[in-house]
Amino acid sequence: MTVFEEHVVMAHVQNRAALARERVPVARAALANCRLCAHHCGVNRLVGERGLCHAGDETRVFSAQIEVGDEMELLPTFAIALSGCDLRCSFCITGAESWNPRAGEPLCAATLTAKTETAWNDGVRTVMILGGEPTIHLPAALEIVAALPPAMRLVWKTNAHATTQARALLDGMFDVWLADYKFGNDDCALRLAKVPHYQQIVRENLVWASRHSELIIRHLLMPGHVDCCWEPIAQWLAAELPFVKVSLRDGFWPAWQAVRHSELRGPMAASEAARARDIACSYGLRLIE
Amino acid sequence: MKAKTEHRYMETSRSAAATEILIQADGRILVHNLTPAMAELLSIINPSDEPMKQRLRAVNSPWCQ
Repeated sequence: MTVFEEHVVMAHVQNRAALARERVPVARAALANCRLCAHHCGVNRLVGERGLCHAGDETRVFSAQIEVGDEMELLPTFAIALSGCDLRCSFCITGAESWNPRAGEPLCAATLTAKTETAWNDGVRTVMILGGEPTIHLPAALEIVAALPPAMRLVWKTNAHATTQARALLDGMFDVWLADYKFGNDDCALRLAKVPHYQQIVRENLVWASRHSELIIRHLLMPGHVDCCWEPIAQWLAAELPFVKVSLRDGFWPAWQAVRHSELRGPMAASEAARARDIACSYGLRLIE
Repeated sequence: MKAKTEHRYMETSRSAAATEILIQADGRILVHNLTPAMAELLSIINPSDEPMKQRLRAVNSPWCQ
């Protein structure tokens, strides 16, 4: 990288903190008629009204630690997990915290920034903000971005269920979007996560993210859902986002309320996971570990 | 009078690093929120697990010097 390029990059990231600071009050005001996620509840979270995510104006953190379980190119990462989510995935691995925005401890930006800086000095490669779903806590997420040193590589781990409004506030804030594409059809999305119009919304978010940041699309393979969910996703990715990195995860386990769905009562069979990888290869997807 | 407990809003917290593991009947281990310490432990348990070694190498890479 030339000195000029370095200067441009630094100007961009320094600008990021300033932009984030400017956007915090805008994002906070948006809670008065909350349409940050595609449920478009329109409730006033500032006065105690609750939408489908049940979140108010407080943000809580249920985990903040160095992790090495995500995609290799992001590791080690300092993962900051915010409580609460706008989806209701039966199989959620962090269901107790993701379905409950009151889980964890209140976010203290100063403490969190200090912990993040310590992790950065210890050598983490990225800082990841996740949930639950961080989109529902956009004001707090922007506060975190505003407080972090400019050199940090920031990852937005999301369910890709944001609105145009939320995306506008997120534009330029994160180096990488690590986005879930969970279901390959609307019926499975509605049955397993109580989310309508899933395909249209998630695709809109993924296309946007591919144009505004680096994008990694993650799909958690679910037992019995290779044909109905994974294959349609693979087909769409091959057609619409052929150069995007795809992370195929086969570590499903029957967490939370998965037992309510007969096909989700056990882990992925190795043979089914292998078939899913064959599908990815047949579509020429750019798989990463 | 017994206080009503709102389980859905019960507060929970994790003050220390935490990893969850699931040991399957066939001996495979699934891990969530894998910390470097747990990666090291799992690598000791099964030294032939190459993906786990790769994750440990990430911790020991130049990024972490």
